[in-house]
Amino acid sequence: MPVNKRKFLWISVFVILFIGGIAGGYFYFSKGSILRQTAEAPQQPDSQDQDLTSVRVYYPSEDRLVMEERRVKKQTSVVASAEEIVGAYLGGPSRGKSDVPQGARVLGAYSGNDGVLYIDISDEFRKNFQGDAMAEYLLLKGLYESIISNVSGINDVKVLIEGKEIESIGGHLFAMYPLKDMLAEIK
Amino acid sequence: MLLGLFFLASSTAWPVTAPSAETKKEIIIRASKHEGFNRVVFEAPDDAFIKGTVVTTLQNRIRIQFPANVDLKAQTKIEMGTSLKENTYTINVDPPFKVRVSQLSSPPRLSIDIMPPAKAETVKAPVPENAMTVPNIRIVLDPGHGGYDLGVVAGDLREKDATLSVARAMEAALIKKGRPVYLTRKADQYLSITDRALFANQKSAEVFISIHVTPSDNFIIYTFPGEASAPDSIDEAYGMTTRQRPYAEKSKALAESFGKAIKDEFKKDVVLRKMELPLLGSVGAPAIMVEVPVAVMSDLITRAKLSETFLKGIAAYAGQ
Repeated sequence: MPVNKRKFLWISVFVILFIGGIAGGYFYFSKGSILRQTAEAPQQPDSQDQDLTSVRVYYPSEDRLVMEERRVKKQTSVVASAEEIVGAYLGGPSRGKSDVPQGARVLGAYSGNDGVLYIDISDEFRKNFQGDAMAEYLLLKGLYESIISNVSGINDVKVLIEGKEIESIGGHLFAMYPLKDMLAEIK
Repeated sequence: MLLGLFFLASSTAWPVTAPSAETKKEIIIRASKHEGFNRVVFEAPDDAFIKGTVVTTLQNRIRIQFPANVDLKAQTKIEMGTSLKENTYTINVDPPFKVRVSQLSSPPRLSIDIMPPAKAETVKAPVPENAMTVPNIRIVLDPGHGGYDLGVVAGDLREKDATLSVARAMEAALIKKGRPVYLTRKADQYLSITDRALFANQKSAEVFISIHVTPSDNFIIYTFPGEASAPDSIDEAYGMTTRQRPYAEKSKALAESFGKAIKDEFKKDVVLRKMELPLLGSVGAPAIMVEVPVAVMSDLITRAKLSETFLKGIAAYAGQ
């Protein structure tokens, strides 16, 4: 019987090892899949995030420009990017008082061969502006800086209202020329 | 001209809604003579068209700019020289004259009354004995904004009205003293920056004061930066803002005299600023833009002091 006893022992050890192996495997793989799931879970917003990009928008506020980082839809073309940024600018800052005229919308953007980006804005931009020379300066400066600091390949910006060239937004500064030279440093 | 060519060339690349033959509107025009004035009336199919029409007066003509090309149907004979080019109708008038523009409804129409200036508005009047503190120089006053351009609005105050009332008070005081004074606008009408500058240059202004309002607590006086711009800068390219350069120092002196007069009277801080304001840059004379705080403009007592204070500023500058 010592032979049978030894046989029985070997079989028992084998069965225990077999069951242990299966159990270990089960726990290992089942735990691994949870880890993968948790590792994958945060990736979902990331895939949505791939459609957005951070831009710096300069809003006029009292007597200065305030920079705010905004998330806008990522675009591949210069004009579409500019439209997104101008849209964010016209929408006003996420907090605090906005000096951007209410209700103004971006109607389109066009890139000229001369490196000038033409931004077409709805009439509310002119009609709802009520400010002094400094307010008009900051309104145009904020628009210009927001575009120039985020969109590459643009040398200057010109504003159109409802598709038309107009002389001035608020009666102090010209809007009929590109903005860069007009917005020189104030002394 | 350069800009016109530039825009024409560029406009082929994208849709720009310029007035075109397709958008031609039929406008009825009639003229009538009344005691002391001539009236020209434009009747349009809708109110928006009338509201979008801009009337500008120049030295010897009135320019009516419609929002689209028009087809004019004259119901009566117009006994003045007129011309129509696309969306712009021009009436030639012998100077001096003044206009009164009214927008009316039912039916939508624009009425323009053309009249000689009232006796009180004639530029040269007898010189009172004690008038010598005000210099005998040609002064052009520019009341900011006007027409559909209201400027700053604060409660009942509208910048376009307040600036006009200050300019009219200054004008009256100067006329009393027999000094030559001209206003870029004498009524509630829209006037472009370019037309204001052209007017000042046509009158050979020796001092140019543009009057505005600011929501700020302090008076702000602007001058045009005197430094020469880069050769390829926009003002060089379009020749619009180069006339001011020879007068930069004088404009600074005028701003300082104004600042002192204001500080003495109102005990308020005065901010002197240099900004590339095209109006100042385009005037070939010592030129400043003064912005008056809303609080000073809203109070009729302090507003009344403005005209006297500004005249003191001019007198102090001219006496230097």
